[in-house]
Amino acid sequence: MKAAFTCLLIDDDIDDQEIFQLALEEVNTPVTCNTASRCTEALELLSSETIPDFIFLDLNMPGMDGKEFLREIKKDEKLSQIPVVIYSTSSDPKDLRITRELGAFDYIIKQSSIVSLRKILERFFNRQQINNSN
Amino acid sequence: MTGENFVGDIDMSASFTDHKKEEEQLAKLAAIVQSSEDAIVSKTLTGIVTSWNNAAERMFGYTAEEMIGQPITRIIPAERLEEEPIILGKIARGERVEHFETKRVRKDGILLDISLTISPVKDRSGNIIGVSKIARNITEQKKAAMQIREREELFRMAVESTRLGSWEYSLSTQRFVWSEESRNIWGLPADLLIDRHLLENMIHPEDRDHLLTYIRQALIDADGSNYMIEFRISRFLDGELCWIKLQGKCFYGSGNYESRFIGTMLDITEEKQAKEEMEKTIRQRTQELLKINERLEKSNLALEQFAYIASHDLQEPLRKIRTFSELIREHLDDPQKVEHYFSKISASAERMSRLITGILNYSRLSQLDPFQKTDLGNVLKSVLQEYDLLIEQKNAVVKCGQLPAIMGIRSQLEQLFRNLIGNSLKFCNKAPEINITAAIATPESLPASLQPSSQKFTAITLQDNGIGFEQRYAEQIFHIFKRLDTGSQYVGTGIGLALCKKIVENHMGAITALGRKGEGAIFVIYLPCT
Repeated sequence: MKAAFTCLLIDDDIDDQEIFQLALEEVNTPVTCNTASRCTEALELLSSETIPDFIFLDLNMPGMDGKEFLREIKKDEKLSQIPVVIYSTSSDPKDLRITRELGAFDYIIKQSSIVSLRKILERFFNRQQINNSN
Repeated sequence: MTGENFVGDIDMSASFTDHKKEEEQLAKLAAIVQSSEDAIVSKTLTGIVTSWNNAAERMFGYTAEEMIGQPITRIIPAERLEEEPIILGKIARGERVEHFETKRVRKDGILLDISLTISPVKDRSGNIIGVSKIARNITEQKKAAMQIREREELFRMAVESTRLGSWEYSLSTQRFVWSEESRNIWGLPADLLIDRHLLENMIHPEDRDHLLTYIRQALIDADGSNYMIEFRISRFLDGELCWIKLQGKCFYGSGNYESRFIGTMLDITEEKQAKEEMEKTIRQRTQELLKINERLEKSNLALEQFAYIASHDLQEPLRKIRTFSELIREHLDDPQKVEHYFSKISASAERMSRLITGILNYSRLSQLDPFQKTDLGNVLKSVLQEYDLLIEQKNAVVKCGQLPAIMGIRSQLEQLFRNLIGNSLKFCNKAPEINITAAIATPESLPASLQPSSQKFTAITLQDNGIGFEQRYAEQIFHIFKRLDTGSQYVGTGIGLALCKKIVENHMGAITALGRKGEGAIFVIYLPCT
């Protein structure tokens, strides 16, 4: 029996939220995904609701951006434990380096094909399954 | 010529022994006279030659036979004949004439320069009975002296033609000898006595110690080296500042030669001023180049960022179009989903179109039209006319103060006000109130990018009561494609304020923003006054 995961997607782009959810539906691993359009909204959710297994985080957002959010949750003992996966259109190596330094768990580049996105998410959650069973 | 001739004027009334002794002595004297290199001649008080030695024969070309018994005037040039009675007169009074330089003429007509020493010849009783003359041919000496004088004159002319002054300082007497040009350089009158104290006081206080130390060192070293130093003086006559280049060499004398410091000086004021002027120009040009370089670097960086962000943001709608196309293909049998994904594709295409227009507008700003005097009041008026309808719909109140005219590009300035007023009208959840005023900016109120500046700036303030923004984003809002958290009802491309910034920078100005979320924004535009 595969374990179910919970995740929180933080992305200001409603379309990308929808695409992400659609991709997750096809993933073998059962994943429940909550969404937030702003980092401030996500922080509120995290303080009031159950901590998700993963956070998927966009970088370029109005107001507090992804990097600021990463810095913010790393200050909190409990929130800093949540693995944060960057989910961004940016393929700039500088963004990869900075987010890794800020403690990001993984980095997924937004795909121009939902098929590719499904594959990436499939592989990601499979890996987490293996990690969990070990 | 014989000894008798020479002694013909002498009394011979002594005893025989004495006479013999005297004869011997006279023979000796005669031999000395004959072997002398100087012409030795004796003559009567009336000027008749009584003796003529060998040297006189060689010097004047006449033999003793030809001259004895003849008047001495034979060898005196016609124009100098009056010398003879004067000389004879002096001799008759018992005086001597020493080193009298004159001219005499040879038998062959050649004029000689001679130095004469003339003495009276007395008998035993002391009566003057004749005249002895010793003549030295100084023709060669005179010629050499003349040559030296000519060379000195030539040297002086050469030195003066180069505007060089020459100077000399005696270490023993502490006396200065300055050429006319040296005095001119220092503005010293020809009759003013030059001493160290006077000169030291004229040297610029900042250069005095250095110069004096240098000279002292030159005197101590005395290794025959050339010394060169530049310093300033305040000229004696007019107090004008003058730069001097002094060169010198110390000669340590021995015996009759005194120790001297000699050299030249040159007025290098014009040269120095030109150099200073050139250095100033170079410094200015370097500063200008640095500024241009800085602007170029900024521009390059901005271009790099622009290219990256533009491609990145343009890819976003493209990515969605491809993804939703894929989803349509997957759900062709579900018309509702197909319709939903089509609307997404359409919205993405719409957004892409807006972005491309924005990017075009932004890139067009790089092509600069010529600056013209532009009345900002007029510019604002025409922009407000464009927004007439929106102002009415939103019940907006726009208050405008007096705006100045500046040098600029009208189309860009219109775009600037269009974007700012457009934002104020758009990002507002109540009846918009916009207040526009202008004032001369105080130097200390200028943003760092404009400081320091000798240029005056007009500060145009645009204040609204819109949704505002958090002050920490005050710089970011001007970055291209940077959108602030304005809530989902406010849609923008993130280009408007980036355009404003670029327009203001094109006009050598700056723009700043002050904001508080929910409490409106204040934009201040700094533009150079005309």
